[in-house]
Amino acid sequence: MKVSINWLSQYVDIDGKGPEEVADILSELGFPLEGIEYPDGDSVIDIEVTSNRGDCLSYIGIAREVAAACGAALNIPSVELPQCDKDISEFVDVAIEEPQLCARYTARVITGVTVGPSPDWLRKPLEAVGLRSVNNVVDAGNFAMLETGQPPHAFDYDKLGGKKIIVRKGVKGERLVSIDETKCDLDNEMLVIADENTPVAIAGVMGGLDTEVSASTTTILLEEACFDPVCIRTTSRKLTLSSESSFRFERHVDRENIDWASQRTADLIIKAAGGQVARGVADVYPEKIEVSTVDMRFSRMKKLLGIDISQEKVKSIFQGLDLCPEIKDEDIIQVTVPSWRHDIYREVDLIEEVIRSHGYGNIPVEKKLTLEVAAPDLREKLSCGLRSYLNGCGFFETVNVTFTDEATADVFAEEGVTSLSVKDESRKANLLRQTLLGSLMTVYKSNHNAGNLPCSIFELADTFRVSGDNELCEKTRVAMVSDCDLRQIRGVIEGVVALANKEAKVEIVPSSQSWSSAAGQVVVDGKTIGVCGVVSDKAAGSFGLGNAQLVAAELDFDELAAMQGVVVKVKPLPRFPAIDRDLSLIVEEKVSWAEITAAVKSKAPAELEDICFAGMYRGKPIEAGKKSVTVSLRFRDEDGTLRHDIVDGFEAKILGELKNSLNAELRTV
Amino acid sequence: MLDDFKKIGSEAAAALGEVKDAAALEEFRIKYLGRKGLVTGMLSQIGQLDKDDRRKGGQIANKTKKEVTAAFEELKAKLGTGAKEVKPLVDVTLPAVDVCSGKSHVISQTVSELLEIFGRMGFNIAYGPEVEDEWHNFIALNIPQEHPARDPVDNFYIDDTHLLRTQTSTIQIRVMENQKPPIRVIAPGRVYRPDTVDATHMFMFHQLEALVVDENITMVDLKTSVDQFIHAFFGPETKWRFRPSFFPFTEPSCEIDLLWIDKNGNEEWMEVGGCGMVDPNVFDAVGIDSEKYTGWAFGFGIERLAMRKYGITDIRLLFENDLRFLSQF
Repeated sequence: MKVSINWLSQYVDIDGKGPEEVADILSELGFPLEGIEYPDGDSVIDIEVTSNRGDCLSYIGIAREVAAACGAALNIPSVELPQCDKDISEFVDVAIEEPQLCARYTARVITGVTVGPSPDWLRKPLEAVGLRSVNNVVDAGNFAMLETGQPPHAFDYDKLGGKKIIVRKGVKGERLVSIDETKCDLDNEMLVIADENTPVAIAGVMGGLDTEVSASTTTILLEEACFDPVCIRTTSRKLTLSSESSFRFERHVDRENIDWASQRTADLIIKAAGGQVARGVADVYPEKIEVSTVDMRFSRMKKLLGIDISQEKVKSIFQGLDLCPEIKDEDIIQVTVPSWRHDIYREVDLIEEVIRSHGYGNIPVEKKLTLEVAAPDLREKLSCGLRSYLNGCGFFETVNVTFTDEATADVFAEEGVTSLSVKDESRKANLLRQTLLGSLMTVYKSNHNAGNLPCSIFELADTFRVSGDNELCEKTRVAMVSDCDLRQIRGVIEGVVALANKEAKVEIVPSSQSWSSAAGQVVVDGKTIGVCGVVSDKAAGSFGLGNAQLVAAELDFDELAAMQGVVVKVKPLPRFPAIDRDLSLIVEEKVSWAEITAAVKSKAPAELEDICFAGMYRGKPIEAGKKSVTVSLRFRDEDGTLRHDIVDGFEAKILGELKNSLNAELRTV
Repeated sequence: MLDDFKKIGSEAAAALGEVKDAAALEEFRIKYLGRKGLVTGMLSQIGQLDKDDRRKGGQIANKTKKEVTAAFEELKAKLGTGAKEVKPLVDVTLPAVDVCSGKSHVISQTVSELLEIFGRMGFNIAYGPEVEDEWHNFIALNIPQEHPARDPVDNFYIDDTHLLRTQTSTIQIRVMENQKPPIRVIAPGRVYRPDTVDATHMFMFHQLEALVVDENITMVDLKTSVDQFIHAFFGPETKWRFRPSFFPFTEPSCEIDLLWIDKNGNEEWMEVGGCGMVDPNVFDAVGIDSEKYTGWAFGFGIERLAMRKYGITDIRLLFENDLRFLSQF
């Protein structure tokens, strides 16, 4: 809210304080400064008003805060209205059909006004805070709204049909053109102000063009009312129409004060545009609000704030805020909540008022905290270790948005798995990611375009899906995309698993993935915890990466986290030498390494310590459709030195099995 | 044969005396010290000596080899080497070979740093789901149906009752539902609010939330904890203040402002987070007796801290993941 210092000083003696000083006072009270402007001969501070303090969307509200903080008096203008002979009842009859949505409606009538330009005293303060001058009546209304916080509306009385004002719901099919010429289609969830025939205003949001005050207006019907905040907000949203009025009604107006605000608005209109009011007011106020009192225990205040504030001090703070405090006994102070303070209804709200006024700066800081040692968090430990390990492997961590679009999601779609989406049709990417791989492919592509190669990236984040029985499933995963080769990423995967559990066994079991030309499931101790594979040309092509040779992997982080806690059992170093045997085997192309190792293991003696992959060769002199795979076997006897002739026997047995089960030939050339 | 052994030593010494250049030296090396050279040969012939002479022969062979090799090396050093054998100089000013290590994202780095500080302050880490129900995101946090924050256009709703969480305060509720006081937790995570993306706004960002609940927890504890955290994270000289504010789930509520001093010495109060004493309505929602227990909570945005710390002027850079950006941290 923009506050002119000249204007503010009409309500509180700021004792020559400059705008910065006033802004400092308000900031300490919870109204932080957003900017200062210096229009002609004035200064204007723009302060933020939190949504619970609708009462401070007005000069009187702000002045009350400043007055309380400075111990100054609050000057509320006095009102005297020239009256004509006619009674209000001769002009209008008000009916509220929706008392739940309109708790009070008042109408005054002013006759004999002359609409024209505003005098300087009215125009200048409005212009200082950025409001364009329209005419003297509209300007008087705006001035009154800023002063009191109560939004008025002035109708051209002669354009209203019949002598009736009805507060009712809209009817589907009704249409109203508002003052800003928006065509508003009404419905039965919107509250309208209607005359005998038709809606003339959208309650609390904006008046209609047909009944707006114009140069020819001589008689005004002045509305001051109170509308339900939620109804105003939903209507305003629905019509994408908001105003200074709707902004205030959404934050509660002071229902009790409506009649005074109406008198003050009439007073300002008459001062600016002449005229007289009809006697009395049409005031429909179905349910008066009860005056409420709230008790605060000094002991509770101390328990929450941790400091002592004297009873006298507390009482004077409450007095400054017009809370009419009364000390009930040695522990209890009772306040009467003024009608404008919708935010005060509990003890704790009063405690906040005390410390807000006393100053948060007066809360001391102690030298030390008492604390208990917290155990290290295993999940955090793993994610830190994982980041550090993957960084060491050359992978950069990325953070990507959780949303993806349909085209990207399709590339990685899994059968029978449904995506979640947010209800936002304007957003192209409105699906929640089932996999992190799509985001990583997109990031790879942008880095590829920028020439940032080689590029290895990963992300650790949540993924979302709906399972078969319609249960939402949110899982944290770690995914990688890289231009390294499949065996390298397998090494990375094994390293990641080892971070969680050094004893775990990792297998890659061939499987098919929609995005991959050669894929495997990552199986750890018999449990599938992820996938890896070569990104197919088709999948890469859909990211514009047709020629890139990429590999990708994704692991379930929750599974990894659950594997932690195994303590390594150290093995002794070998005391006797090993014998290595390299076997170059010629096998059919389809024979996999896993099959070779399985065959070796089936005939392996206890002395077989390790099976290593030593290389693969295709081409002459090996015939087409076959390949040569070199297996390196390491034998060792834990209890003595092995002899070559014994190993020859092991080797022969293994070769025999390889030949039998896989038709493998030992390569001799 | 033993005599031949003795001769080889003196012959070699004489031959070495004749050597004048590197080429001749190489000829000498091949003749005497090569694989099939005379000195090398002595060692393989020891086995052919008479049994009695073997010991003596071995001694002579070893001694001869040692002496000839030493003389050879000495002369080699004296003659210097031919052009062929010039060793290249190591240029220590050459640039490094790229060791290809990656970097953690600046957001993770910042979160880790914060978690470490809070860990040292005795806080446990808590986590919660990103897709939340209205109870945890709004109702239990004292944000009633009519509150503007619940407007569907200000939230990413998944269905009628579930949405992407708008704040990590949801985790407060989850912790208090499952654990009785004393509670001391810190909760990091992603949060979502539909915002038009520009240099300072993103529809997804990260928050960190702290919650303490126990008997006799006061605003003095809150202020002391915030003070210790700020001094640990931003440095011991950092000035900060509480400023009154409003949040539905705390009462009293404050903003935490940091006095930021730029390169030119200009001072500016920067809002870094919100905090306050847990609202009694929140305690009621999770079944904690608000008369017996009190508590405080605070939360702040990670991006804002990181951007300020590293001088990042556009939030979108954090989510574009260009390696040239990521590698700077």
